[in-house]
Amino acid sequence: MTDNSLKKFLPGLLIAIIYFVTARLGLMLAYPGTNATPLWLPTGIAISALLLLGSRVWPGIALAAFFANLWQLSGLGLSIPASFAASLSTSAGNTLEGLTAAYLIRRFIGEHNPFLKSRDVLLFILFGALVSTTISATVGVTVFCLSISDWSNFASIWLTWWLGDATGAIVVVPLALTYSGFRSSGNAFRQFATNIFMWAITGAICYLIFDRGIHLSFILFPVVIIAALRLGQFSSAMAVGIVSVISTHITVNYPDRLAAMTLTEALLLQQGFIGSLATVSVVLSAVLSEQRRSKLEVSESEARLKALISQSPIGIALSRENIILDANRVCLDMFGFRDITEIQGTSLSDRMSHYNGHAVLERADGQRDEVSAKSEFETLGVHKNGTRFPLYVSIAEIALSEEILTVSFFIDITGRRQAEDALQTSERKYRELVMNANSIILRWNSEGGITFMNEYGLRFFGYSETEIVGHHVIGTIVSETDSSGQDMRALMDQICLNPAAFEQNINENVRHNGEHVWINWTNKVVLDDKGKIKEILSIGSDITRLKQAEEELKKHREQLEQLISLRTADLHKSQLALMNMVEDLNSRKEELLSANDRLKEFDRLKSMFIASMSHELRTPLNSIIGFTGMTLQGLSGELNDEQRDNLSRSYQAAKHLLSLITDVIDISKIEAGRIEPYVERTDLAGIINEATISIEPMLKEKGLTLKLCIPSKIQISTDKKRLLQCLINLMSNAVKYTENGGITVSVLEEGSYAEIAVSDTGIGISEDDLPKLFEAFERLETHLRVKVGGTGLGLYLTKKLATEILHGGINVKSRVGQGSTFTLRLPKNFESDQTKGEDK
Amino acid sequence: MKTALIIEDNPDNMVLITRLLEKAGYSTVQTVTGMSGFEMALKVRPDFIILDIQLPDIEGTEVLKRIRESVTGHTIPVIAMTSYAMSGDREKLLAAGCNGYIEKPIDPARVISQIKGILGEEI
Repeated sequence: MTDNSLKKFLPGLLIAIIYFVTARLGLMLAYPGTNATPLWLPTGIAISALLLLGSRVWPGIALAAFFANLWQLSGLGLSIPASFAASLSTSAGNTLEGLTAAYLIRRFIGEHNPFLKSRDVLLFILFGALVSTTISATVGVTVFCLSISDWSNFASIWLTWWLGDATGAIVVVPLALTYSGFRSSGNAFRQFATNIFMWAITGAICYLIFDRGIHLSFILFPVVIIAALRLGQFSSAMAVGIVSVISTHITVNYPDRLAAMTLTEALLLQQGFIGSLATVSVVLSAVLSEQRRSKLEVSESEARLKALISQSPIGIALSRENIILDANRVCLDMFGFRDITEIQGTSLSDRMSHYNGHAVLERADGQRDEVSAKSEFETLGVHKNGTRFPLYVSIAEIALSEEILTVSFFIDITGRRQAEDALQTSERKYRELVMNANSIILRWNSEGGITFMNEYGLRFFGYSETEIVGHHVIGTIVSETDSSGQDMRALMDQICLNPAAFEQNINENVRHNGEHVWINWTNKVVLDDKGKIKEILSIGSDITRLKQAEEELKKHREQLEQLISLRTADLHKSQLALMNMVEDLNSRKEELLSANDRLKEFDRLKSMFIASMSHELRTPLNSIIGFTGMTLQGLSGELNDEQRDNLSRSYQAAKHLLSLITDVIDISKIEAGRIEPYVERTDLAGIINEATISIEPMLKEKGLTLKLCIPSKIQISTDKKRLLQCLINLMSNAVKYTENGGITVSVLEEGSYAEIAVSDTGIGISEDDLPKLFEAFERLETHLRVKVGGTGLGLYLTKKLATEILHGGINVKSRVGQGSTFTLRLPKNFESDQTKGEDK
Repeated sequence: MKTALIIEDNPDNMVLITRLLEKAGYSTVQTVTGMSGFEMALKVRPDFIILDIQLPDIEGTEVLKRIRESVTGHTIPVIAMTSYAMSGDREKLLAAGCNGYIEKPIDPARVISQIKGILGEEI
């Protein structure tokens, strides 16, 4: 068996066990020699189970009834098959009884608890207790009598059976069905204790009474009634249950208390009593519960009404004969009262309404017919502070049993009035705008009929309103064809068919007097509710003058265009001529460029030529110098004075030529960019000393002094050989042009530069000659010119070397007759890509 | 008597330097091309070599390099003779293993003392 099926069968099984146990207890009290018993609680259990758990528990009931009866019948000495048959049919009767009761209760009362309304309770007693139980009684007793073949006691057994079942139903079902209500009713312990106490009292009283005979049983009525009134339905049902069990027990077990009655008679009487008691209990409980519920409903509906009134956005006042009884918050706020006590008992019309409303309200109290005819109106309300405000009032009368109350509803319609006023103002403004606008405003329908034209439009076209409204546009403001011959009828049809495409349209119109005018129209479609074209709203402005101006402008423009085209042709010609010139210039420029290139090439070739020629010149010179030098030395034999002089002259001339060529080579090389400085770190004093050595013979020859002012160690990075060349040039120049005095060489450090100054006390240079000093082949006019040899290239080369190769400079200061100072300015740290041997 | 090998293509110069050296008491051997100069240097094993830098077949520096790389000739002093040396020529020649150099044009009054100075002889 799975859990699920266990859950399914468990309630049935439980019911079966309870049913069987109570059945056995009941059958202990059975009508002697029968299975009919005066207290048959199982009926109530069966009905309760079927109502609470549903019809599906019937097999449990049937099974339990079968075995209980079988037990009883087999104890009566019936044959086994007879007992079986009887038990089977009796249990069928019992089950059928329960199912019928449940069915009828559901059918006539419904699914809800039948013990809450007196009507339902009566129906329950009828169907559940009295009617359905006849089935079981009839079936059971018939089967029993059949089985013992004795019909003599049928009536009394049937009565016992039926009464037992009915009592069982009426005692047990209320107990079972109200238990859930009892359990959920809170303050558990106290209530439980009270109930226990009540039931104990009931039990005790019951015992005492029945111990003295059934005739005192009426005393139990007030007990049960008190239980019902004070402790509720379940409690009284329980009390009835206790009474039924105890009384039955005493009646059956103590026959001596029965006075003159037989046991059967006593039991019937006792069951009748229990039945009555139970009936009283359930009916009373139902009535009480009904009452409680209706009270609750009334208070609920009252609360709802209160909420409705207080939450209402409308002011509500309640009055009787114009005397205020009550008013809601909105009403009080509307009229400026703090709370109801301020106006309670005063006159409604005085308090709240203008005299106009006063009159009406007075009539409302006196003559009701008129009021109902005019129960809604607008008037002026009077605020507590005296201000008046537009007020909507609605009056209704409520006829209560003895009096007529008046309910007044108030709505402050200030906002609505303002909106209405605003609307009116805006409408007026709109109307004024349309009527007075300095534009033509036209409305016409989709057939072309004019429905409206503003005053400006009428004046403009020269029509009166009656002459134009209702007429077609063609024939009034539009002629059939315009002055250019365009068919205006077709255009109007197009506009009517599809106004949206003509939102902006300029066309020719005609005035009443036949004058043609140009109008710029803005068209807008007015649609009706269904979205169909209702009207076309057209606003037009007169652009006739603009159009005329445009025409004129067009004429002018055409003239201008003609003029422009003429001028353009001229211009084109000039342009062509200019273009030719430009082309010419371009070709000239190219010629020039190529000529320039050729010249540059020539220049380069010249430099190269000079360089190589000079080299070739040097070789024979070397031979001349070498051999004349050797001969002059006397190595080839002694020379006489004349020979020596001759050779000496040719030797000097060769040396001069060689130095000239050397200078030319250097200049050419510099100009051809073929000299790269060879930079090394060196001591400046050393270089100056070297230069001094080479001019010393000349110095001695002329008897000049030499003064050196050189700081002990000045290291510079430079091209040593070129610097030496410069220094020798400057120093030998100084010697050449100085007759008396001497030469001074001094070195000064100036930041990253070293300045070497070569001063002499010679003839000096005039200011006019200074600019020419460093030019090639310039030899200044001096008296020494003839005497002093020179190439005219010395200073030119020196300057080129100083600036272009050594990255320094040279300048001169001089005074005629006083001497000259040439200053060579050199960077101490020569910067070059070719820098070598820097940290030797 | 010390022997000098003169490698020089210009006949005037050859005559000039030869006469100057012989008058100063040296014996001389001459040749006009670089290749023959190199071969003679190894064969004759002179006391020093006067080497012109501009030669018709191979450059004087190349001759110098070969002499310095040779087993038998690498210790022979070599004096270079250049016409109008460029800046840095001297350093290049010294770096290549040249003992000293004489600039052209040769000054007959000074050349012997220059040579003696380079060779470390008494002047």
